[in-house]
Amino acid sequence: MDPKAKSKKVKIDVDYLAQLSKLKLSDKEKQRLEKHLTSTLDFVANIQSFNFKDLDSVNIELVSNCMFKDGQVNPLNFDKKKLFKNARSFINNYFEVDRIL
Amino acid sequence: MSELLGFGVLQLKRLITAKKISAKEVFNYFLERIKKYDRQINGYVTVCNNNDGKLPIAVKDNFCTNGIRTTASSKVLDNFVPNYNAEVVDRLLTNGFSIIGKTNMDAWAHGSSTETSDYGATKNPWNLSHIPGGSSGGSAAVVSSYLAPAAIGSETAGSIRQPAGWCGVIGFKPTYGRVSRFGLIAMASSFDCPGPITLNTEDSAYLLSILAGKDNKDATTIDKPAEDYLSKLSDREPLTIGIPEEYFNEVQKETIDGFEKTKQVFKKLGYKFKKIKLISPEYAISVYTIIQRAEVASNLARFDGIRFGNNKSYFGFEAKKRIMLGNFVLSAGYYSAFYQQAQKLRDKIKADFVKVFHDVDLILAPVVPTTALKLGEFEKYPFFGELIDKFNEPAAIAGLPAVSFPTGLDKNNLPTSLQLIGNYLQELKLLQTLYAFEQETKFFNVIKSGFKKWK
Repeated sequence: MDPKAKSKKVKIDVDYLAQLSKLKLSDKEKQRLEKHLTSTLDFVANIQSFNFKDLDSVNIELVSNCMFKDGQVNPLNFDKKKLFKNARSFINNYFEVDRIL
Repeated sequence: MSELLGFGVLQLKRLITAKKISAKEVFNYFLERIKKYDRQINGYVTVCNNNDGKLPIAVKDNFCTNGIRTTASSKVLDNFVPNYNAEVVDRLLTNGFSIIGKTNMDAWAHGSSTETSDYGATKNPWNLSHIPGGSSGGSAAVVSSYLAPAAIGSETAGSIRQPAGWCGVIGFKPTYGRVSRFGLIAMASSFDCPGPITLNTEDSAYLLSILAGKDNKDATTIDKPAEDYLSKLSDREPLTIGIPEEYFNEVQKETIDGFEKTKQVFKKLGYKFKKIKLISPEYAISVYTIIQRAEVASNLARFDGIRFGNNKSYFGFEAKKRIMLGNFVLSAGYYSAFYQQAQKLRDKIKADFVKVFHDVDLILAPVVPTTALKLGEFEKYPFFGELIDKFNEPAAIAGLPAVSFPTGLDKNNLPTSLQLIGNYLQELKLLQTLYAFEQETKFFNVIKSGFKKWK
């Protein structure tokens, strides 16, 4: 894993983002924002190079041990068949819902 | 009155109890100092002149204060006067404090320099051509120049530790959820954490004892009683301190010198050291930037000018940039590549720390790669704040407690600093270790020489 590895460039549409954000921008601001947003996204895209498989084993403890509350966390033993009985639709143990956006 | 210079909160309280001075006189003493020096430092956005005979304390301007203007250093909230107190403020008031002023900060806490404030940049009291750090730069600067005996800051990722480090004082960031966020103007709600900035360890312990605890108005507060940190401060057991190699790349020489010096002191005190390996802080920069921007986009959506304050046209460039990036990483097509991936990695960073804390009790690392930068440096880079805070972001992402403290001065006479990071809810261990270090070194007289410049 190389945290400084370059990922492929991300293209951003400032006008669309401004519309999503309900912000009015001047042309000068748009130009400056495009430059800033592109370089930030280029940097943070390094998380896509992170290899999760290397660290899979360390996750277990977080689930079984809650340091913020007294008592024990009980493992969830759902009967999946029962759980999905009334589901309109599901794929591979996940509920399928309509897209929001 | 000049003999009061440098007295911490508890020392002042003892003088008042012994009737050597009245609280009213103490309050006036600080008001006079603010009048004399704050024009140069610009540490306060609002100064409260209503001396009600209580001990003064400064509070960052993103904590709501009943009847006192609260701006978060943004013109959007220029005339916003809340009609309720943040839980942190309420706890201070019921414990005999009075707010002497609201301190300057990066607007909405967006930044690490206090230069994005709509009320002008705060200057570093050690050298006025340098920045104090941020976003709690005003809080750190007023403590460092003794315009308040202590201050409350808030940290999302480094906003207490980094300015405290650059101003040569103590900055304590508790475990996420240890102190209530109720009434704190939110930056990134899953990170935000109030904490004290002080002149000594005793004051940190005392203020934390007041602030920490369950609050029914903030569902994320931890349902465990706060400890009496102050009475147990001098108890201490031999601990093992971890040294993460990944945190020492590209660090200024004088900070490394301070580290070596500090290590020797801890060895003398009986602490053991162990090398540890953590996920590279470079990943933490990305995880933090993505999740924080997403939460900023959501939190700032409420400032539409209808319910309170001015409308969105009053947002500065930095706020607009953060809102837009937040909406980008949450938008269809990019959500899984950025936001979801960042959340997954956040879990890994937490788990990584949990694993490491099986082997060590505390972690010792630099706070920032350099000492305080000159005014204007941050402007040159699109997200310099996140880069400069790369050693603070991992603990913030994991929600761990940490404390920064001064270790010396560089060749330009600016403070160097280090931080101790603890496991969840191990605030007491951090304070005990820091107290032992303070008893042995007096922080190499850095704190004292800081306020002496402002006689």
